[in-house]
Amino acid sequence: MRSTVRAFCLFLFVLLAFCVLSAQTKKQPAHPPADAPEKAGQLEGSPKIMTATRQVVQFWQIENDLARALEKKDQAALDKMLSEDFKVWMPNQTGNAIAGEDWMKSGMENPVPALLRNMSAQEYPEIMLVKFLGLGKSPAPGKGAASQYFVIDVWSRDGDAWKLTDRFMSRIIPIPLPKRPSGKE
Amino acid sequence: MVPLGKMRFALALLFVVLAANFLMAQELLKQHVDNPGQADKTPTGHLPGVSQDSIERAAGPVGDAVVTGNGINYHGGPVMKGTVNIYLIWYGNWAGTGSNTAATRSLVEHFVGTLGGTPYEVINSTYGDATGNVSGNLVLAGTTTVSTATNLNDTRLRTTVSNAISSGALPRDANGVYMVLSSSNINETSGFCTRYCGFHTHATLGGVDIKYAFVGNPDRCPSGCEAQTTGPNSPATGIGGADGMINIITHESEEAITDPDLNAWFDASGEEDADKCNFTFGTTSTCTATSVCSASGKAAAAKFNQTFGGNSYLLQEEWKNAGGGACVQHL
Repeated sequence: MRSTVRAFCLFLFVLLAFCVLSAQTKKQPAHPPADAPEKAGQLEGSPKIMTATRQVVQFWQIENDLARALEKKDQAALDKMLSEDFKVWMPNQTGNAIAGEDWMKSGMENPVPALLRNMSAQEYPEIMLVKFLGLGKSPAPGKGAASQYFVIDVWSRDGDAWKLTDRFMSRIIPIPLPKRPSGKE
Repeated sequence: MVPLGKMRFALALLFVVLAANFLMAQELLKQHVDNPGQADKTPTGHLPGVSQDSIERAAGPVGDAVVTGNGINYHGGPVMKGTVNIYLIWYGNWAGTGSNTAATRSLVEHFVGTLGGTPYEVINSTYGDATGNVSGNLVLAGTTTVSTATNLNDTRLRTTVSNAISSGALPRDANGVYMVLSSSNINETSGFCTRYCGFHTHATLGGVDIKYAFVGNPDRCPSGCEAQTTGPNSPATGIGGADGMINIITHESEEAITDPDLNAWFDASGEEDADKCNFTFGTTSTCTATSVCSASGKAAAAKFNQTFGGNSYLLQEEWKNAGGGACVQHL
């Protein structure tokens, strides 16, 4: 009978230990400790819900219309939105711009509509500088992720409308994390 | 042989221990359900083109007070119920010129103090969570001042709120929305005037989930953040900052109440209730000689669509979560 009591006491000890551990787990804060000093820039770009400016609202629509026209190769719509000397600047070895006509003939990828994000629009006299991130077409399943682009568009005022004069576009290449040393090197 | 009394005592003790253990497990589960975004990715929805570090949202329970099918979706998080306390932190130089003046402070504080319970604010009562609906009541619960010429960034904004609380200038209030209102000489370097006119977010400060917002004086960029450069309360022609701020304050406060932890109410595009009606004003009236408008507002024939508390305002419409959903000026 004494062994039964011992077993019971052992069982009770395990339960108590589990309770203590549960209480410790509960004390862990889900967020950083209250009013803890923060690393500089820790919150830059942190989740926040923004009220877009009027220019962002306006150019969100214009940029999506342009993306749609490029996707459909709608020349009539493109003629309305692109200036005659429209050109594209991309990272290349010559540093030369690509003429708009050549660029469209080349079949190069463009950001697709409705997937533009992080847009900002900065107004200067007769110029609107629009910056955003865009995604290319989604590849087939299992073929990797869609390419991501960083785009800066320079729009010039043309009467009551805006025409795109320059597009600066760069593909974002994810930087792989370095492998952790295994200790066998 | 163990006495029967001892055995009973041991069994009772075991029962108590098991009960305590069970209760602790329930508490842990409740914390997880209340804060799904903390366990996973924190959602960051809002206006397309502006937002989105992530578009993944945690699905949550739909309770008795949740009405769906009106163009905006519920994602399981809490809304702010009861009377919501609004705290204003005046940041920058509010003893300056233009709209950076005591008159603007007075007007904005009067506006916030009279907004609660208006037909306009009651639009928010169409939103709820599993335990109840938003009341549509709010009060101006406190103000403080931070006189500085230092620009804001997101880190400094949070620190400003944290300091206002830890210094005792404002209480630590989980049912409050802290609004940092900056004068027009102050920039918020994460995108004020180029990406946004204001924003809201939340953070745990002192162990309490604190909801806070940034609202800049839009006289810094009238074409970006003001509906009209001379508003119904403008002290002079072209000084529309106070009216512009008031409009942004309504936007941020509505959203902070219906989506305080960024995991409650937003649509498939990530737009919260006020985003869906951003810069949409509906039917407006014009300031005339008989209107409740400033002399400059009357001279400029400024537009307004709301009158309460002895003033006229031009406030963006809000998304009604009823009757199929729509941007409305009141229920």
